[in-house]
Amino acid sequence: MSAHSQILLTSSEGTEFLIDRDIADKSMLLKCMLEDIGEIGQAVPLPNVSGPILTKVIEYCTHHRDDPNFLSANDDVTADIDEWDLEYCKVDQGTLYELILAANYLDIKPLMDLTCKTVANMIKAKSPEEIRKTFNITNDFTPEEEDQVRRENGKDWVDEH
Amino acid sequence: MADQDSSILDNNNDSSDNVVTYSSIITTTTTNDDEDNQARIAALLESIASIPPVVCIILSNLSYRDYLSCLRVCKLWSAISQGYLWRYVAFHDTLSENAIPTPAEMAVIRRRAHRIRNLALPLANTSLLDMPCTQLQSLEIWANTRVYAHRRLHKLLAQGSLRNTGDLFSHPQILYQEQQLVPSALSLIPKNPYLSHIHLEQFENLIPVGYPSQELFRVVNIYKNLREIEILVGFQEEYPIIPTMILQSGMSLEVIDLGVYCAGGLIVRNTYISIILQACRQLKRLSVHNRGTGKSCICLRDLVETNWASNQLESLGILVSEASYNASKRGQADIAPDKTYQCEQEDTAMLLFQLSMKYHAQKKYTGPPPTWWEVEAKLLSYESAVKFTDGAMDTAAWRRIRLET
Repeated sequence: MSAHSQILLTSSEGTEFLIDRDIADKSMLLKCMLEDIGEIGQAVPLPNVSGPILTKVIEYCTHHRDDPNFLSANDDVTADIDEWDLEYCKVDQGTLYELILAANYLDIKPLMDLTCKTVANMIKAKSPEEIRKTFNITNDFTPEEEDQVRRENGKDWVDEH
Repeated sequence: MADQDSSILDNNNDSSDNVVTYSSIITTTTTNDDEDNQARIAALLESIASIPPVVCIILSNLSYRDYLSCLRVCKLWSAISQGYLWRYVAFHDTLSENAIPTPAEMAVIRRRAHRIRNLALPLANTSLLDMPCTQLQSLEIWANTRVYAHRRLHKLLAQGSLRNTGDLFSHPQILYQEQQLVPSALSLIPKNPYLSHIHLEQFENLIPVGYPSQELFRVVNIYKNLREIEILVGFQEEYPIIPTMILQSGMSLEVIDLGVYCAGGLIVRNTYISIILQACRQLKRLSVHNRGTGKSCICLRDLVETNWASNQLESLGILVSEASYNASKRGQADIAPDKTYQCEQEDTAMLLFQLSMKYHAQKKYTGPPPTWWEVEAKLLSYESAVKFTDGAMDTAAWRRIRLET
């Protein structure tokens, strides 16, 4: 295997992306596939990922291409997100969710951890009403149901961990 | 869209570990691209909520307070949040009187029993015994004998079967009679195939004197999936149930945390260490915590001559005595005292070297070297160890078993 070999990917709209093998290897899906079947010289179709999202994903993998702690980077849930990653996640909600889905599909754990952490930060320390507002969610509880849910689940024996 | 909503909700209700066919949902959502952006985002959010690993990562970044907020956001979020809130359920002694579940509240708990993964309850609490706690992974049980004895005392006094409390001190066992007969929280153990962690607090009180220890034995005997076990035990007497339990589950146990209570400043020979090392083939971590004024330790020769069943040990937190064996032997020795001393030193050096080799054989060992009981001055020095092993003991070998060089 040549160190400089390149892989061709096709996004859902059929746009082609030529990327270096070591960038592709950041995705466990592509890495396992390339190891199993070898480089077939054909484009790898990614029907679940759109062109703009694939561009974002490649941007992330390229930035972290020489990161020795790539796979364990976001394991610590209490650790702060680094500056570049923080800036990277400043996208609209639709893009953020599509990034999560792409990271899940392509199996890029650090990107999944990062994007999920960003969503978690949007929920953190907010009231139910603030959360609804942030995520544009309609409250489908009647006031009685909401009260019942609060009473039944907030008891002392439901332990704080 | 309404149909899709309810199917996603159902998926989350059933089990968060279900493999959801989210690829179809993703396809649906991407075709929504041209529609109203809000609807697209809402659909994307729903797709995300239907992928258990994603939900798991998001929620692991949140706190208990956040779960309580999510609980009231909407029905979908509520169902997801409940799955997390109900993972830990604990009935602590510290619950105030009015916090003890009422029958109606017990019904609520009963409905969510399948969500409980970590349960902590006193031995005598049998209220969850017939519940389908099918996801239980960790169980903590402690003997609330004090609370129990208190209630029993009141009952006996009310019945008039006790003339005065003095009777109690001469026959303390009458306080615990009932507890020995009722089914206990221990019965939850064999009912839960996923249970991998058991924490038994105040072990000696879990099995009061005269209690048929076969009961616990039976429970553990059926159960062979144990991975982790935490036991706090007093060392006033031997508890044959511990070795039995360890031997029965020896094939699967990976983490053992043994709390030993030794009173009176005594040094006790900890017989459990050899049994554990011999029996547990998968053992990764063993730690013995000494509580109380006394210490429990294993003598060097026992440790070396024990056949360690596992070669995957990562950490071994034990107290080792270098001299205890020799001290007991010295009394019987017929040889001149100075000769004896030299023999002992040679013997100890060889044992230390063998011990170092045993540690070396554990490929993944990252834990501490053994803690030595003797005061520093009395321990065999590195120089003597090198001399008496004809140079086989080197710095690397020495570092594996002693902190200083």
